[in-house]
Parts: sequence; C-alpha cells; structure tokens
Amino acid sequence: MEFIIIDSSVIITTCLLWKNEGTDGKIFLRQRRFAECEALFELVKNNKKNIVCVITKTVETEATTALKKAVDSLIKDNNFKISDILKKYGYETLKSIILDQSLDRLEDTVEEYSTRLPLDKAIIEEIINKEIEVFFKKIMPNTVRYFNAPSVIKKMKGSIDGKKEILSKSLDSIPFGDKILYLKGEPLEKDKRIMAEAIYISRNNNDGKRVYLASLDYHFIPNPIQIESRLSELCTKSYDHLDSRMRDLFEKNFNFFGDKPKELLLIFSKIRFS
Amino acid sequence: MTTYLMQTNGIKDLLVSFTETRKIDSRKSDQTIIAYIGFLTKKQFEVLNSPIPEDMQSVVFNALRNLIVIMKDMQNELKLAFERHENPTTAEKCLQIMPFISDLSNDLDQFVKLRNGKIIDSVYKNTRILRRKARNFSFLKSIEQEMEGINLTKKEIEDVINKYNSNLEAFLLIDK
Repeated sequence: MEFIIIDSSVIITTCLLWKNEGTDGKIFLRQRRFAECEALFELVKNNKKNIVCVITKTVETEATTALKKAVDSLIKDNNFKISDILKKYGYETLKSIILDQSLDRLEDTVEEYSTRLPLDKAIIEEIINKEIEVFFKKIMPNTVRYFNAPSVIKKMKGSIDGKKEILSKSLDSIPFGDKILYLKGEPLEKDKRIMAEAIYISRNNNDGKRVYLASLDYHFIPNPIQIESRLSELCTKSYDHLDSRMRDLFEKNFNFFGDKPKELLLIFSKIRFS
Repeated sequence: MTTYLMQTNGIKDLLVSFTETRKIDSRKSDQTIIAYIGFLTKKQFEVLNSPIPEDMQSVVFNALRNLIVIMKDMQNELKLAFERHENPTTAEKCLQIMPFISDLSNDLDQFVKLRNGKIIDSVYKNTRILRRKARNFSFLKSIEQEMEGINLTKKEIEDVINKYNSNLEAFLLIDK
C-alpha cells in the first residue's frame, strides 16, 4: 500500500476551474498546473486498493483560508470598487459565486479522494518540537535561497549556455559547495505541521516506510537553483537544475518524499500494482 | 416587521400543505416564492448600502444569494412536479431542506439585532451547510443558473476571475 499525502498547494490548484457558457460567450479558466494535479487524483481514484490518499484537516483548513483570502482581497482591489449600486451588486454576486464554486470543489475533492486517518495531536506536537525544529536549527545555517554569482559571470558576454557552464564549474569549486543546500527559507509553522503529520502517518500507518507528499511548495520538494547578482540592480535568473538534496534529507531522516504531482505520476507509472 | 424566519415559515407551511393535501398548487407556490425572493433581493441591496464592514457585507450577501438561488430551483421543481403529477414527492424533498434554511434565517435575524462577528461566523457556517445539503438534494445544478441575471460583461467577469487566479498564484508562490 502506498500513501500519498496531499499538500494545500495541490488542492488549491484544483479548486479553480471556471467553465461557463454565458450569453456573451464561453469563459474557461483554470490554474496553470491544474492538469497534473487532477491527473494525480485520477491515479488515486483508479488505484484505490493500492494507494491511500490523505488530505488532513490541517491541509483542508489551510486551503479554505487561502481561497477565502484570495476572494476577500478582490474587495480591497480598487479596480472593483464600484459606486454604481447595480454594478456593485453584479460584482458581489460574482465574488460570491467564485467563492462557493471553489469551496464546493474543495469539499468534493476531500470527500471523493481522501481517507481521513486518526492523528494524535500530542504526538504531532512532539514531532514538531523535538524532531523537526531540531532538524531545521541544525540545517538552516547551511542553506541559501540564492547563489550569489561572481560579478564576472554577470559581466561576461556570451550565451546563457556558456554562462551556465561557468556557473556550474563555479559551484563545483566552492569549498563548502556540497554543504550548501538550496531552500526557499525555513518552513512556516503550518508547513512543519504538515511535515509532522506525514511523519506520523509513515510511522503509524506504514510501518515507518516512505510516504509521498504531493506538493507545489518548495519547502517540501526539490528547489530550483537561482543565481543573484547584487552588482547593480537585483538580477535573478533561474536555471533548470533542481537541488533535491533537502528533499532527500527529509526522506532519509523522516521517511517522507516530497515532489510535484507530475514527478509522482512518473514514479507511480513504474510501480506495478496487484 | 417581517423577519427572515417569518418568511421562511411561510414557505415551510406551504410545502406542508402540499404534502398533506397530496397536491401541488403551482400558482400558489409561484406567488409565495416570488414574494420571498423579492424580500431577499431587497435585503441584498440594503446590505450593500449599509455601513457594516465590507467583509461582513460579503458574508450576508453570499447567504442571501444562496437562499435566492435555492428558492428559484425549488420554484422550478415544484412547477415541473405539478406538470408531471409528481405529488407530493417533490414537496417532501423541498421540505427536507427547510430546516437548514430556517437555521440560516435565524442567524440572519440574529445578525440584524446584534451585528457582531460571532453571528457572522455562524451565518457563514450555516450557508456552507445549506449549500452542501442543497447540492445533495440535486439543487444548485449548474453555474449558468447561478450566473443568471448577473449584469456584467464577459470581459468584466474574466477580469475578476483572472484577478482571483493571480491572488491564488501569489499564495502558492509557484515557480518563485
């Protein structure tokens, strides 16, 4: 049996699906990564005997809060502040429909795909305080958000591929290069809670074996390497290379393996289920 | 002064009479429901013109909008039931949703009196419960139904949805 824990970033992505046929014509909109997230849920649906999909209350609450905040901030946006009462009525109606449709999709997703497992809150708090906090206290001094490129790379003429090669060699030459890990900052309280829940599920439901964490949040999954030059103005470039070492450390220490839905789909495509 | 609960009880009494007589009077149901929808719509405009904070306005407006849409659905179902002689099954089905409409109406009456955050939380919670129950009973079938009568152009609708999408992306911090 494989366990997939769904992070709020994946659920939120599937909550915006706008399809309506109005008198002016059709409107269709969905989030950029909707297809891969939806495909992961389809995989779960088609393999119910072999895959347990878990959406915890923490994740559900976080997703609900995010959806409400995204709609609430539509009120504050000045483009939608209207003095004409009829137009205001129209905008409020639309906002209300958007929120209801998103929350409906969230509830349906949880109901259709998720198994609710019992989670001992006291033990989860203990995991956060005695294991996760200790882990990050030790590791954070060795992480960076960006690699500060030597000024010569920025000033060099040449193609991006040429600069990439030089960047790669410079990374290799850093004395403590193998100890510098890329991480988009220390995870927030809510992220640590989700990690603790994944750890708990691994230990209590999967005999300490690996569980998967489906996420689009860089606190859980391989981080893209970015270079930054502070020479003149801030300039940040992303490269295709992903640093998976933090994720690998999570797996080694805590038995949860985080990645984007499309990567997990690849992994699962290679598993033969009975 | 007419309260939300008084109006809701009017609908409930009508549905009870349909189940007891085993006959749907679609003219009477149209009259009563249209009057109720008119009452709710008037309340929506009052809320938008009121000095209460915008976030509270949105919660109350959303509650009223859901009541209106469910009532419109109910009106259509009763009309169809009358034409198909499905009596009183449809009236019984509509009655099953009335306790949740009553709970929400009670909250709205409390909000008119007290105007505080605690009641607003209850309005929000009971709106969600009502909506879930309505969907379970096959009300609120399509987004087109809910969008009916919205006086915004296609571009205006797209702008709002795109803005919502950007707000969600900002939260997700995708690819940043």
